[in-house]
Amino acid sequence: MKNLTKQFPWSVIGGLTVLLSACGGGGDSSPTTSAQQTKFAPAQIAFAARENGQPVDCTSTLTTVGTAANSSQLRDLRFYVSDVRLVTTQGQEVPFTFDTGSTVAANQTDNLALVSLIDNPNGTLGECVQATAFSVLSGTAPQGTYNGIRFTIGVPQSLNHSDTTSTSTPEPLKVQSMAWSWQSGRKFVKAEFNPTSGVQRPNNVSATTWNFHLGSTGCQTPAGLTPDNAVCSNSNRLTVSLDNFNPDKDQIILDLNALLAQSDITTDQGGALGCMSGSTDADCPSLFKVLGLTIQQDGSVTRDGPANFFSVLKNVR
Amino acid sequence: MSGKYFLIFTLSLLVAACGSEGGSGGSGNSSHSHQVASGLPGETGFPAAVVPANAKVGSAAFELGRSLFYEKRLSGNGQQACASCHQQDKAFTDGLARAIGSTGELHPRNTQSLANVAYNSTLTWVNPTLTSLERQMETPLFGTEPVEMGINDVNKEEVLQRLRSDPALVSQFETAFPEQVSNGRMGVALVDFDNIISAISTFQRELISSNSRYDKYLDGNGDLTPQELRGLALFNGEKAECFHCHGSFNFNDQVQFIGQVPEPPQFHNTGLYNIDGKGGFPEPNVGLIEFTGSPQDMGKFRAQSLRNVELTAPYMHDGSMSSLEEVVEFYSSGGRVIASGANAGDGRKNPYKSDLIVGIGFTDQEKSDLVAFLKSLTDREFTQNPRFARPN
Repeated sequence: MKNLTKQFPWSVIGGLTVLLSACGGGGDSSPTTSAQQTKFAPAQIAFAARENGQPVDCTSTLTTVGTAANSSQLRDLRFYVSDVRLVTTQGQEVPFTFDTGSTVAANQTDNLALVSLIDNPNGTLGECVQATAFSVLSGTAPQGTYNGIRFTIGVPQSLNHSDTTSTSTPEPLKVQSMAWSWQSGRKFVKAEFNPTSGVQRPNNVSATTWNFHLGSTGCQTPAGLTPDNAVCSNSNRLTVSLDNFNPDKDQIILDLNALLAQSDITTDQGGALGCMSGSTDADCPSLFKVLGLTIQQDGSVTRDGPANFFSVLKNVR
Repeated sequence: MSGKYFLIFTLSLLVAACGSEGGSGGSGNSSHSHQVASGLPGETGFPAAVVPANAKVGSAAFELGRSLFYEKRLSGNGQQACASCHQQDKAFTDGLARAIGSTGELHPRNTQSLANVAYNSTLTWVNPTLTSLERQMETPLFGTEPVEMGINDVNKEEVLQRLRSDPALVSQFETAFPEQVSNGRMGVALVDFDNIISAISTFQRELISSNSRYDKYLDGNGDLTPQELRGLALFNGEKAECFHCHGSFNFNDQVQFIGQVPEPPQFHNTGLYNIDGKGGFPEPNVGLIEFTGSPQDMGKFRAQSLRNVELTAPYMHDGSMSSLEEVVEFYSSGGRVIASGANAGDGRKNPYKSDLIVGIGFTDQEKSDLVAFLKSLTDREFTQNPRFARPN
């Protein structure tokens, strides 16, 4: 399987995606099947991370991510996925229903999963030490033929500010390293890199890790209420829309080159180390562009389009 | 203008005086999810505190919380307890400019007192989301920037196992959570972070400091010296106007209590820094702007309660002032001038400085009067109360 993926020409994928999305908007609106007739079938959504088309894990030496020529190593690579919809060949969106219950991995709950692409037990850095992999969502979808997927990167607002230790909190939200007390919420994405050269800070002090933490910001708990009621001015949830995706055969690739295409992970321009979603953090604007987000002068964040650091890898399952 | 504020201050004293009637008066806000906990304040002379609906009350939970507050096993490496940084003799602060976590990491901020923490509407130097003790506690327990008590996903089960291996402690959990026991949850199963946080919060809510010499003076049970009385008049008068931000019964401006209409929390830039001539505060302590992204929120932090302030040095969010005299001098000057170094700048000219911080120009006599009054807020009964001390 690995050989197959290695040989796959990436430029072709990009081209195909563009072509398909160009002709996918025909709006073939076939009549909806009534509820009684709908049959559901098991479905899986597989994720993986790649650098330059090659699979990566905690032991990989990354050589091409970021704008500076420098090698680096993964320290963490996890994100929350919710609101997954598959797109039929007729262009209809149908919900992917997450499996729940005691037989399902703790990373997954109703309509939410913590995807963890740090899957090598020999990792030595950060969260890689624990290396809890979870890359395949399990669920059901109406029987049919699919060639597209839509999903959200982030935790739904109704769950984002939940207590991290309560017995009533779903398991994926009890993961402390994804908790974000700064906003009484969760990090939606936690991607961390250790460049071999270290990270140069403005004060000439070197640090070891360049962090990307995404989450809702500008949060405030209304007066007199508890933090689970926090409201945020910047949702910072990402929408991902991929065409030419067949859940039975394809993988969704987090493309590290695309994610860091505008970021120099060997330097930090001030504020939090790397980009931790602060509106005044100089490392965020260029990275946010890749996410489809724009940080405005007044600190607000607007969504201009879909995130474009995910792609589809065909026929690898 | 100051007349109006003086009225507010007077009213809060009145509220304090009749506080034993709990939440019976005032404008109840039916939209919030809180309730009055029985057994809280009342006899302290303060109004009843706002307590989350699911908060634990009762002496067994208090005693368990007290045990856990002093429990070093409740940290990743077993080296630090809550009490390591919140020491009773210093009104539950640590005497350091900036705290040091269990792994030796230097915290960017100064440790805050826990006196009357039940009344605070927000709970840290600036975070506007952290409004309950239960949720705030996730930060010291599990936080990574900086690491405080250092519990993480890798060691959290080990930390619980340590506590579960102590039969006396497990038995305290059973006494504190009888309703869970009657639901079939018992023994070591009760030792989870939800219950740990709940019990410590119960302990914290009872850390009430209301027996300073100033309180006794208000109650007619003691006198203040003429100098302290001059300081008090200055504090509440038009010249110093300290009461704008330190005017509640808890000597801050972020209190909540039953009967009060909840207000959005206030944060202030007092002119401590101006490192770029444009109002900048040094990283990583830039204030409310870190949350809102709004330039005008640069350098804004929460006004601290002045109760026991004599015991909580050093001062300010980063512990950058070592004495009360230095703090009074700072307000007298209307900001701080730092002549050299990385933080050099004229804080007096910080464009985001609060309108309330103006050069007061105290006389030497006034400065010492003010400091004398502030020291009358020291509550030795609180700092020596055996109920709050390390359990035997």
